[in-house]
Amino acid sequence: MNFANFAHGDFLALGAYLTFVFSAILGVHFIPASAIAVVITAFIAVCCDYAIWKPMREKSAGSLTLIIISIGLALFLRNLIIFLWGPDIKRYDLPVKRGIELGSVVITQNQIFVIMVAVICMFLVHYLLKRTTIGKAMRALSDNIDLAKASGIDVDRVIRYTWAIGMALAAVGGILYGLITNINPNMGWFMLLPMFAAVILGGIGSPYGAMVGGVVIGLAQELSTAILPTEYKQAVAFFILIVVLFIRPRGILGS
Amino acid sequence: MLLKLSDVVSGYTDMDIIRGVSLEVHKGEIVTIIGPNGSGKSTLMKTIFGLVRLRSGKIEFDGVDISRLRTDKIVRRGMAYVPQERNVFPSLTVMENLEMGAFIRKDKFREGLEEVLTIFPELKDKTGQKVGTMSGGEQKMVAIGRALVLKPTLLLLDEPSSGLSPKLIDNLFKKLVSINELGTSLMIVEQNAKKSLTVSHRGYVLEMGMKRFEGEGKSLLTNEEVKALYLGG
Ligand SMILES: Nc1ncnc2c1ncn2[C@@H]1O[C@H](COP(=O)(O)OP(=O)(O)OP(=O)(O)O)[C@@H](O)[C@H]1O
Ligand SMILES: [Mg+2]
Repeated sequence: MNFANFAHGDFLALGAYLTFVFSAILGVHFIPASAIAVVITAFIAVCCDYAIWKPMREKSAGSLTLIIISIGLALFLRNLIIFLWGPDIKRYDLPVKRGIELGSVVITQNQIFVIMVAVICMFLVHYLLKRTTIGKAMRALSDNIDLAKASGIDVDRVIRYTWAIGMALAAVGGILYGLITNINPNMGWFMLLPMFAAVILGGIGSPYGAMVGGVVIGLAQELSTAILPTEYKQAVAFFILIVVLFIRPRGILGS
Repeated sequence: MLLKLSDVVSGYTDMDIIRGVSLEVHKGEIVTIIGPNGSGKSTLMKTIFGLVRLRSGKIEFDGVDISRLRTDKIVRRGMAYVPQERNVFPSLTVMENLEMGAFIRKDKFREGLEEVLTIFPELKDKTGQKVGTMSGGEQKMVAIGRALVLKPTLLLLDEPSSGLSPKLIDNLFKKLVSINELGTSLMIVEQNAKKSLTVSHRGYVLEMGMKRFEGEGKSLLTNEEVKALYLGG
């Protein structure tokens, strides 16, 4: 399972839409609604593993095949979202709260919440990968899948956990993104480019690299708006990417 | 009888690589398999361990037919395997590598860890080091240690001495003998045939996927034909 998952962004959107359904339509409080959405997204990811990825592993499909399948899955999910909830922009309809003034900048409570959740998620991922047996097995698998098999590790089970946790995190990302902007069927697709840029910048296959890459790309994009028109945000991300890859071809933390 | 292969046939593509091999390992034995490059020694080990599909024949381990058993089930029955190459998790620490060896029986890890560190005291001070940054000899200890954690009844070793200096090789074979004395039977594939046959109870010569010779370790070493063909005169 060594490929770039183009459906990642659409799982992100799915998480946001499911939260929208539970909170804005069914009237569940935002936090439990998000939790339900995250669990359902993870469940769908595991179903996809049974239906798509596991049979592909058994056929030893190459990464190009897997990428193309993931693009198909991405298109399917996006159009499913449009079919179910329409093409227009949605919001969670949360009560607007006053922002907090810090000198000349104003931070909304939602923004503080987003930052907190993101930091907590980072620590949880760190704990998972370094301290739990399943997390260590995930790293072992990405190191050497044949040896993992030869150690008696149930590789399929570890991969299912990886999908569940990975897509649960994607859902959290989508929910948070929806909180500070809005949700729309294309949000996943537009998030995919900066996400790939962050992963490549940090070093492919390195979870900590992805965290660093994410912060660098995010900061660079936002700070650039002070001197450049906002339309150039994407260009800034790729300019940084090119510069860093010139200096460190395997990314910031790549080995 | 610990391991018994009867007319085993296996391979990767349409072609058979292992073409009807019968052999056995008794409880407590060290058995060495030698043979020229490409004769199918590694393939034979992978077949036993369920990593290459068996086409026909039968493999019994500890009285149970394991011919079509999944690898993790074979590990549970008490067999372990150290591949010829790529036999460690380089980005994991020594401790984490050993932990992966006990993935299926976490409750047995503490006990097994102690035993591995008694056999390889060299690893004691390095449990936190990333294995990818270690020397070839140290990585070999980690690779064997990973396979030993659950105290297997049978350990398959594919060319354990490859890439080691003569001094390290002597040391390694001493360790293998002491592992055997602690109650683990060994099946070793070796290029270093003399050394390996010397410590072995019995040996087999494999050629083109078929058994050419078999016998006691010492008698193979003195067999004129084997000497001329496989031991470099
Ligand atoms: N993954 C594979 N796919 C297809 N053919 C393979 C594969 N691995 C090995 N072979 C072929 O199987 C034959 C036996 O290979 P094997 O590795 O078992 O030999 P060996 O006796 O272990 O050799 P060596 O002493 O060089 O390690 C070779 O002809 C090899 O090309
Ligand atoms: Mg070999």
